[in-house]
Amino acid sequence: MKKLLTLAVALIAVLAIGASVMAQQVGAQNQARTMIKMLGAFGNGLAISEDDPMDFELIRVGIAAVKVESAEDEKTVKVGVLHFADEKYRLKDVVIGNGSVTANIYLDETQVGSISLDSYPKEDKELWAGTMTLDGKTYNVYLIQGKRVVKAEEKAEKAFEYCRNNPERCKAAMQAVGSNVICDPVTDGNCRERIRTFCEGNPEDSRCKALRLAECGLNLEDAQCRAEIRGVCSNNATENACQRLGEVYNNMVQKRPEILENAPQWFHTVRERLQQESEGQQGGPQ
Amino acid sequence: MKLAIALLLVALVFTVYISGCVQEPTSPDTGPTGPTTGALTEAQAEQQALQTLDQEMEALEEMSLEELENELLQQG
Repeated sequence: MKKLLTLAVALIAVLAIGASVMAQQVGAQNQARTMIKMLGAFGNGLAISEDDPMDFELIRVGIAAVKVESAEDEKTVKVGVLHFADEKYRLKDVVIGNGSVTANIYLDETQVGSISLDSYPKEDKELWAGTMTLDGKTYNVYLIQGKRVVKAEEKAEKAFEYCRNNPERCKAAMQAVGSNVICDPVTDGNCRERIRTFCEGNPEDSRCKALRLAECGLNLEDAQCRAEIRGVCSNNATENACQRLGEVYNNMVQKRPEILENAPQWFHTVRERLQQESEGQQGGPQ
Repeated sequence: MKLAIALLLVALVFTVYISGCVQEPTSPDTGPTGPTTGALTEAQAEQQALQTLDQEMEALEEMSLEELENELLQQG
């Protein structure tokens, strides 16, 4: 009898502990992981009425492509938020282009306006300018791109993406910084995963940085990538990625030439080179 | 003996109760902070993405109007 009692009590204890552990595991598995994949406009600014310059509001805009992963699925969705006065709006139909963003503005499920912004460099920062219509009023919008701490897993993801899509260039990029390769992405099918793991633990490793920059050079629609490339260009404007970034910002110069007044030196250097190339092509053999 | 059977029955009821706690939710819309199971619906993915973006925006530094004026209005 006593043994049976002990057995029953032990059974209850085991079941309780087992169920508790199971509940924790299921909870962990079901929790979706999210990661900022691409950043559009993201910062504080002003919206000034087109009709009355004294009618303005502080605004805060956030636009991003976010990767959402569950145990069985993965999706990347573009979302946005606008804080205008005391109201919070959702941005839908988000388009993140090369240095530009557009979206429709919603309050609850009703469309109440739209926003369109272009980015341009000012000293070491990036600014956004454009227009917004909200509740029938048109505003000129100016934003300062905010600083965001890029997480190690996001940095590693860029290295992973580059090596997945360009194994040979991935290997060359690692060799170019004068160190041993982390692994050989050309011959080793598991290499890109190993690169992701390594770079997550060592985001400032020169090879990881080189891979990240290489990926960023191909993804200039991402404001975080433009920020990385701007850092490179301020030291060496002859990098190929600087030329591509210069072309992105040149679109804004065509709309608003006055932004050149406060543009960084590297951008002027790149523009001169672009102009020389353009003149060379026009004057070349027919 | 009867006590042991009673205890076993209690254990059984307890197990059924706990397994109910860890049962996967059947509703696809688990809300902005809810867990997700299986394939993500568009709505679930959007909710999760918005939650992440909101957290990022909370970390954005507040700027005063004066700072904004210095940065922006000098652009003319």
